[in-house]
Amino acid sequence: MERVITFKQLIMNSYKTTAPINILLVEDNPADIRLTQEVFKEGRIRNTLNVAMDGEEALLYLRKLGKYADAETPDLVLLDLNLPKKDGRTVLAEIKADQNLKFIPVIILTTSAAEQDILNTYAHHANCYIMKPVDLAQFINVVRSIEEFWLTIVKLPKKEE
Amino acid sequence: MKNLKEYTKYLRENRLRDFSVYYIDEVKRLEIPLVNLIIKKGIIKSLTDESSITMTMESMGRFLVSLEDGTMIENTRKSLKLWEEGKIPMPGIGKNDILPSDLILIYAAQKKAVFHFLPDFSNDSRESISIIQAIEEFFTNAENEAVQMLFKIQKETELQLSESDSIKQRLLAIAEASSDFIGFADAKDQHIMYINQLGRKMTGIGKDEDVTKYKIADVHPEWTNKMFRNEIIPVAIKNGLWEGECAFIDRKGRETPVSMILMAHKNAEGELEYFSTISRDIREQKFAEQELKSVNSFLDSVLENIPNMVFVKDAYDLRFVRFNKAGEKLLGHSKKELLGKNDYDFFPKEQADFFTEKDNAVLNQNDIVDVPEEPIETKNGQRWLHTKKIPILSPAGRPRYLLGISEDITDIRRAKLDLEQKTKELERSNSELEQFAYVASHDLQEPLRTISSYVQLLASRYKDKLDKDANEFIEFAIDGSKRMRLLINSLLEYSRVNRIKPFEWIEITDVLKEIQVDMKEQIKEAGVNIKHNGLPKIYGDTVLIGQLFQNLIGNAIKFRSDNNPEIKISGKRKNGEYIFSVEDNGIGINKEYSEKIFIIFQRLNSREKYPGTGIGLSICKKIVERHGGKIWVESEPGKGSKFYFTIKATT
Repeated sequence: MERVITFKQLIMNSYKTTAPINILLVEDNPADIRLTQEVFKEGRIRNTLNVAMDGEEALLYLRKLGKYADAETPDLVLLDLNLPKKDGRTVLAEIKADQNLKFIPVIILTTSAAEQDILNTYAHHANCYIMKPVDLAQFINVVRSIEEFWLTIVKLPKKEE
Repeated sequence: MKNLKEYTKYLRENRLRDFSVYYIDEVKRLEIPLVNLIIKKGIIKSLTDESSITMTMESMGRFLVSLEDGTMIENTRKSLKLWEEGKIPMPGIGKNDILPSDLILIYAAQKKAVFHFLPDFSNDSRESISIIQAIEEFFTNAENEAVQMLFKIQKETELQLSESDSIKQRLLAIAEASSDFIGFADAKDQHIMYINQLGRKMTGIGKDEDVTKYKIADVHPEWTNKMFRNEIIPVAIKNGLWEGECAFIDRKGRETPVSMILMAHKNAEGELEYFSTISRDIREQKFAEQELKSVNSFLDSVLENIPNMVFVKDAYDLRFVRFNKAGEKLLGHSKKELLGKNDYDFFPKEQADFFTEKDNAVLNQNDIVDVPEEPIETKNGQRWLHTKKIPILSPAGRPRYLLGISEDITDIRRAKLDLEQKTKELERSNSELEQFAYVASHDLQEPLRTISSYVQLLASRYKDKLDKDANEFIEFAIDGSKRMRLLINSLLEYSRVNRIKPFEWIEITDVLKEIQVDMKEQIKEAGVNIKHNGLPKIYGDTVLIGQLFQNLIGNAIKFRSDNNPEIKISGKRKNGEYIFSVEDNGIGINKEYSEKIFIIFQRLNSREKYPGTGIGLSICKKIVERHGGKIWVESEPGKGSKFYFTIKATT
């Protein structure tokens, strides 16, 4: 039988061979969650976007505790700074202090323009600091850039299953 | 108060030579026969040579000492006694060479000299008058002694005297030469028998006119008639002598005030024969007294009517000796209540202690003390004073009085405190407002982002999939959210102007270079030519100054006209500030709007033609004010605008 591989099959193959990228979005504003989801949905890279709505939940998820026992370690964390319960600054510090988690790239995605926040988060080993743009087009650009850089260009560490 | 004793001491210690020379001049002027005789006999060469000045100084020194220790009258009596006994301590001068009129003239010269230096010693009229009285009293006594002596000797030598024409001549000469009024009048019908030269002048009777046709009443003003009738004549008859103030009048009605001695002379049988008078012109003395009075009353009315409280305390016991009207009104106590009392009689102990402490400081340091604020309890409640306390010195340089001048600053002080309070409140509310603007605009960003993002998402996914209306509605929503974003950003920027950052030296030329790089696209697109040179360095907030120039340049570009848009920037230092101008040849501004444009969110032009929030110039104004300057515009529609601003220069 002639093996004709259509373009579609090629794509499907690539899906099979490459597991979708797993992203954890830590964000409390439903509008922002949805917006981020929408933009990633239209992205070029297959992804799974999981959401934690406060700092404590994010850490439970990352440490696979409680209801997150079966959660997958994310490839990338998008972290807002102003969160209920444990705020983003604490979450970042705990991730970067945790031997099992500190290799996960953390991107700070926030509305804060405070110099103090920028300095502090880098001091706690944030991988990059991005201010949420007000304009949708710019936001799409930002998400595309994250995809482009972190999910395509950068070689991330292999996860232990 | 100073007394005669202190005055004679002053004369002796400080003015003895002046005093003696003056006395000699007076003696010369009076041409006292005795003195002429002494010179004639060669006892002294002349009155004015150094040896007679020295001699006079010695005898005047003794004279002043005896005035001081009160032995004068005793001494006078002693010398008169010597005279009576013919023991005169001058070789060649006999008993009959000395006449009572000689003595009276010598006393007159002494008296005049003593009076002459009084104004140098004391300015206080009360004091002067009491010293004058003491001097008068002494000389009156001395003259009395002399006159009584005269009667005594006269009686003894009556025959001798009446036969002696030369003595008569001499007496007449003395009387004519006298600087006092000398006259005699008949006791029966009171017609005048004799008036000396000076007396004729004073009464306006001609030199050769017969005086006997006048009576006593003719040469005295009418107001003295009653005095003569009721007092002068009866007292003179009773006591032999009347002394007091009276007056003469001349033919033209001019009065001369005099200090008068009127003597009643009786014959051997004790019958009243005639009156004699020696009177001295006291017009000058009167005038001086009048002058003093009018100066005093002038000072009094100043003191009484100035709006500040003025008080005087005795330096010795700090009791009030003077208080003006403003002081009475302020304290609510009358002069009567206040005088003779001290602070402890009117004020709480704590306040009185404070006042007394300041008083003592004034008196101890002998210097003015300024008390900028002191509370004082008055009958009308507590008031606040600004007080100056001044020592008033005695001639010896010791504090005698303490002069206090107080301004009631209660109202000013209250207003000042109110103002401070209000300023504080205003500052607080201002900073709260800025904080509010910052927080509000910052927090508005979040929901705005949601709205604008979702509206844009709607547009990108559903444009042309709904109906025509929906497209339009979405457009409006997008436009609205964009504008709101601009407004919020402007507000944020505006509220950031007052965030305090340290000032530094700024090279304006460098700032303009940077701005031109940042605005490269805009400048190129508009084809604007920007000119500037030789701009000064200023001290300020670099970011804000950059923003100021950028806004003004941005404005000039935005409101440019079509042909050859040009922007000229200049600046120089002038009168403690820098003055800059940014001039364009654009569309210009109508004069009536030249102030309005600096108000926040004021726009003059349609949004379609000139987009913007209308906050740029209000930010400029805020930045300039933050640098201690002001901003204004000169403009003419169609010709361009010239924005000026100043920046306070730091030295």
